[in-house]
Amino acid sequence: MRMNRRRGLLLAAGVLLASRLSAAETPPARIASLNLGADEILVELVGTDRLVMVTTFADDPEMSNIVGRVPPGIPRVTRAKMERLVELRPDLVVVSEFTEADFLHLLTTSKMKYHRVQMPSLDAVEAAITELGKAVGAEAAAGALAEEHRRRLSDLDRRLAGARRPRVLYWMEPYTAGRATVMHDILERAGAKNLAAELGITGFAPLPAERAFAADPDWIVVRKEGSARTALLAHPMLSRLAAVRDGRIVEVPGRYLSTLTHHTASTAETIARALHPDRFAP
Amino acid sequence: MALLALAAALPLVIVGAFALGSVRLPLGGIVDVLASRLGLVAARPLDPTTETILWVVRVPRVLLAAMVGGGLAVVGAVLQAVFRNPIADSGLLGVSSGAALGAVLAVKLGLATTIFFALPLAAFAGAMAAVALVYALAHSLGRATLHGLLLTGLTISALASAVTSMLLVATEEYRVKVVLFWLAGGLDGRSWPHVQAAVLLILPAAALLAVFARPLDVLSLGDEEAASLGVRVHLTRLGLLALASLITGTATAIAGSVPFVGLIAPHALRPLVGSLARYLLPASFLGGAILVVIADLAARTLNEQMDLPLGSLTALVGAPYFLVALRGSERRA
Amino acid sequence: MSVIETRDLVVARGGKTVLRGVTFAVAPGDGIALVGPNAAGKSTLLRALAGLLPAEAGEVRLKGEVLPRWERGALARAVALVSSEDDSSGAFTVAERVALGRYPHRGPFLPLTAADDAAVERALAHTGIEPLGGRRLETLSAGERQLAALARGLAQEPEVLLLDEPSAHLDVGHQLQLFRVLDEARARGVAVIAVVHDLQRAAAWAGRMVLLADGAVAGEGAPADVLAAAAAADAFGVRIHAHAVPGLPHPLYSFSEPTR
Repeated sequence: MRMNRRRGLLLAAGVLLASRLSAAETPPARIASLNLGADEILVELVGTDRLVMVTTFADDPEMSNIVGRVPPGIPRVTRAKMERLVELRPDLVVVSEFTEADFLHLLTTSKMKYHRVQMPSLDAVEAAITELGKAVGAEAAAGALAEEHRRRLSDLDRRLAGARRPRVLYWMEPYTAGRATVMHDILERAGAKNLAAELGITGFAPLPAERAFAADPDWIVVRKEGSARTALLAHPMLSRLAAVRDGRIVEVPGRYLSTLTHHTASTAETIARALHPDRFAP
Repeated sequence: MALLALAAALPLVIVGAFALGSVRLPLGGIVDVLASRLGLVAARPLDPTTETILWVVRVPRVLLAAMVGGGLAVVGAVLQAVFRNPIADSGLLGVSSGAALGAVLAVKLGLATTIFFALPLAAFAGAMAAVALVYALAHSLGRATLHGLLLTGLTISALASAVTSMLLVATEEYRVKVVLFWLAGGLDGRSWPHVQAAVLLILPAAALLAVFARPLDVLSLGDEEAASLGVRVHLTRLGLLALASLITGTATAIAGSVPFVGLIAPHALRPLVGSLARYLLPASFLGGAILVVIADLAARTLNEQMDLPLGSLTALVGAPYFLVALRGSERRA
Repeated sequence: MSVIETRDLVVARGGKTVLRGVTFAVAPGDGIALVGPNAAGKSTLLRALAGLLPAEAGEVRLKGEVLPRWERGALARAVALVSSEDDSSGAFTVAERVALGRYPHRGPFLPLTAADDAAVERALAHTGIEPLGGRRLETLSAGERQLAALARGLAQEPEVLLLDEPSAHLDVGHQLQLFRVLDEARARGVAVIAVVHDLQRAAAWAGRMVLLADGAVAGEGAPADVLAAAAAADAFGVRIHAHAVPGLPHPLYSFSEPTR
């Protein structure tokens, strides 16, 4: 557990406070997380002592921000194995908004409480962290985490005030992220104009290469791992884009793109630094 | 006789599947839980973990595997007789593709994550709609011939698959994963509500099919011969196909796509019990049930981190089996 | 007293009128050869007699009652149709296939009785395929399958036996056997109507011949008479020559193209 002293004190105070305020309800001591994003948030909120199950993705450096932080003794699952879950007797199972209702029904029938993390937009990240913090009895840590996220984003707002907004294409071939996605919010906060939204796209949808080409983005954001950049350079049409020829490609590490957590601030920062280097003092 | 052996084997396999799984359960605990749930008083207090794992997770899942496997096997045998084709299977009339389309719609519209049982209900509705469409189209030009039914079924299947793909391409990654797991087949996360659906729909339909064994045999002699023997060909065929579609729709709605069971079970059992439906249908049910209970056991025990897809396992077993069986028959011919 | 007869029977198939007023009667024990050129309507007539095709006009009477009034099961018990095309799934054994001929007698649910088993036995014995009883149909030759189909018809114990080209796949030995079986059935009182393409064989076997051409009866009577008439030559478009052979009960026929 890498927690600095300030956080540690806050956490202790928080736990005391929580135990004083809700004496009847003890915070869950055995938490199973079935979702990488929840894995990441929980590690910050309660450390790994109270975790009894995480996802296999937690160990994947291309996806996870907590590689090496979860002890090998804690079992990993790719997808919930009910029997294992029951055997571990979790007090709380943390699931995502994509978890099927039938599975949740089964959890209830098996007398397991669950908490669903929902993050429909960037603004909702802080609320979701706070909600999760309440559910696991770590309100103070959650508050701190949410506050830091808010602080980093408003810091970005401050730095980028008045900056010219380049037209940026988020390219996850063949998909892009239009309006009503978290990536849209991130791009906006990173001082960019989301090209996909300009093209009228809503949600996560495929974008024909011709349209991308005709739109002539100022910058292109891709995932660092994998061959996205080389594919662009080798693409018969897209390689001719000015952005590609001039190297205006932002490569964001996969672990900043795979989940919706407090790390979305890092995603925004990475993009902002590439787009507006002049706004960040060396 | 082989039929008796199968009938004896199934309960043993089922009990075995109760006892085995990714979590080791004490044998005494298993007996306690089963005994107390079946109404015999338990002597000792029940361990809640054992009770939950066994009664909420494992028992319903094994029972489902048996019913899904048995149902699909019987459907395979019936379709092979009706279409007079040894490779006829439950996917023929567009049922599986329709179910997949229903499932994708439920996921894409967000119903699967908010409403309990939305996914299997939507899959069932899709399956029944597809079959109804196939039959209506095949009949629109007069009474449906087998040939017409077959071609219409293939066409509607292709159509449903095409629409499914289009929907999937425009769907969010995480939701697509949900559909993928459903398409690959599996019984994880299914419990007593699904068992109730299967008992209500699959078992009576399968029993009815077995009851109409003899008209089925006569039907497999050919339309003209069957008619001359006094069988109402079109009505009988409609009834048989309706029951078969009901079973397949329910099984697919519950377990996703589980291929090859309808092919392997009858094919393997014909040499043992003959081709007469009154032996082959019950034998197929038992054989299919055993096959899928074992496949499901493998699905939930072979990998530590996730349940393997049931459909992949039946295909991995079924395809080589067929290659071997085919070579055997080619050599003999 | 006829067991089955038609009166001015008109039957259409696929929108086309195939039979245009066919009238003839068959008595129990008769052996009728139905002959005629291709597309004359012979198969259609058989199927109309079996109740598989409806009459557009005219009627078919079975034992005095028109076919539409006959209950399905009773009709199947009285009339058996054996065609030369075997559509059946090959997985059944011969015995199982023949036993399905008892379906009209037992229906979908009642089990087969000893009497049914005996009927099946007799059918197998009459057609001489008892040794093949346990063999699966797909392992048999076309001729053996044809005999199995015939045995199914016999197992039905019908009063009228309709056959569509029964000798199609049979070698000469089996052909003789087939017609002997038909004669044995006739001796038991069964009325046999068979579509036969081979005019020689038809003439040798049949007690009566019915010549069908263009959907109507063009000749009826003793085979020798029917084949000698101009109508036969016209129908087939050939010249028919009868050659009396000492020692043979019926003439040998030869055919030649008509002179221009």
